[in-house]
Amino acid sequence: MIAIACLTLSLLASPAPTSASTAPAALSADALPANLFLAERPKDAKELRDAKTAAKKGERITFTARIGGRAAPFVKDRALCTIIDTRLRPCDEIPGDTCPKPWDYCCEPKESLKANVATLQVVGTDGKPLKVAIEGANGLKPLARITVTGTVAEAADGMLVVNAEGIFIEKSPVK
Amino acid sequence: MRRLPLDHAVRNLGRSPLRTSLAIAAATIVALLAAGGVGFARGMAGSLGSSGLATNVILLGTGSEESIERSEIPPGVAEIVAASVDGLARRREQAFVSPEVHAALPIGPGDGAGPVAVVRGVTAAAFLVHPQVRVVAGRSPEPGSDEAMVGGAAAAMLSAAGLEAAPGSTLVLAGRRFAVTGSFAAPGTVLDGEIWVPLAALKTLTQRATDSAVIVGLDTAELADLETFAAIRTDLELAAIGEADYYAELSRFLAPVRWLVGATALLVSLGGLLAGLGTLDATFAARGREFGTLQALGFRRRAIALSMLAESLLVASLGGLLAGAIALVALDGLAVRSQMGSFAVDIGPAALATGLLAALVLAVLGTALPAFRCLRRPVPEALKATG
Repeated sequence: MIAIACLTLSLLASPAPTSASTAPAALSADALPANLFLAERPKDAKELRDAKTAAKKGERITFTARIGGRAAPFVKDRALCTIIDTRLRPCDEIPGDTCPKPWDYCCEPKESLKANVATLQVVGTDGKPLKVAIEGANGLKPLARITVTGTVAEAADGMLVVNAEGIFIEKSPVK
Repeated sequence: MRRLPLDHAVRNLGRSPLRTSLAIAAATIVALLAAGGVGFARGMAGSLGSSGLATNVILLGTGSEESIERSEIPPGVAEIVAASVDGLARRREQAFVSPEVHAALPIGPGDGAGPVAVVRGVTAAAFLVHPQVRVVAGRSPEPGSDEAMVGGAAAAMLSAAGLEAAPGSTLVLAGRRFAVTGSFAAPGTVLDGEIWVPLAALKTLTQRATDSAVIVGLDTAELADLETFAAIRTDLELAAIGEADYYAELSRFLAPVRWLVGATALLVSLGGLLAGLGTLDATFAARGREFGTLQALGFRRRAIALSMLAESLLVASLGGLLAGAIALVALDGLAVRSQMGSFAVDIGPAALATGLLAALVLAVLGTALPAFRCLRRPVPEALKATG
């Protein structure tokens, strides 16, 4: 029995791989601009894909989107996330689908996903994303419906990056 | 209490060489199985734990975050990331950015399918992001050539399959001949179980235009900077994962395999333990008259039991030491093919101690039962025993 216990303990004591992962970052909404989150929905918002098709660098745009398009739409410790056109259905809105991360839209064809995804960021004076987590700020979470006003930072090669200046979060997401 | 001298126990071992040999063999098997099980588990966990550097980030295709081999990313990502992200490690202006293709391919001397090994297509930058790799013989493959360099564990695995992988030999990877120009060592990592070939050659061989992943070495940049890059360049469909995290996740995924091997070793050890108990029991049961005589000479039962235990411990120690020697010679460093390439069985102090302890447990348990049975008999009855 001691041998069994010994063998078990030795197996348990096998060196665990070192991991660089750490606990989820604390919410740091305070460091985000105070006027970032809007109380009212901006008017004349387009759907994201329509806005993406017409977007030109430096232009101001307003559009509606949902947080998602990737398994990890938020970046830890950065004011940045991926967004997706609201007309696409996340996996959990497909009957019978049990996808654990419905916001990754893995049921959507890759080309469609590529055409309907964009990046939203809140930048500092250096033009780079603020080093602060945006996930959880004001209830921002995967699949949240948002309306954004901002400036196009990049619009080329099928990608769209928007510097957000105002974000309105739908309080009751419509599924 | 008058005790039996230790040399009585030692002399007894020589009285029946066959019985003693059987008992030593039983202890050896039990110890070897226990040491082998622990060595396997520690080798697998250790190789995964040492493979990922905290300063490296893997860029791979979205949706393939758990397997580099399944991942596909556009060619040219390495150049884009080197030009776009600040704070990457650099040496003489060359960024630590290594585009790679990983593929599991059959290896053979001829066109027939042989053992499968992980083949990594690399450029010179691979040596920057994988400092664990050291060329120990020959040289690294020339870019664009059909040349290969073989890791230590991979060479051992190929050698076990009857294939030579030393510099100067030729290997056939998925039907295409590659001249082996060098050997490398990356002890204790999955890299040691790989074969490295030029990136372009592996792309041609596997008929793919894409890379599997780009390994990026960080200096002042952080993982979040690469995650930001991946989130902004949605056109490239990338995911950024810390290399240590990747291997930690792989280790978690493979944990059931370790437990399965551990449980199998345990069950076989138990079988060996029972066989060993039977052997020791038979050894002592045949000496009933001797124990009766010792009692008649005035030795107390406890003294005789201690002498029996000393005998068993000597046998078990010999078995345990023999098992340790066999494990070190035959099992330590043995290449085992697994999902992430191959890894070497690690017969370290933990495995040796477990093996020795298992043999000693066999000795204690193997003595208790026959001692109780032989010594509880009245002396006259014991003297009449046939054994």
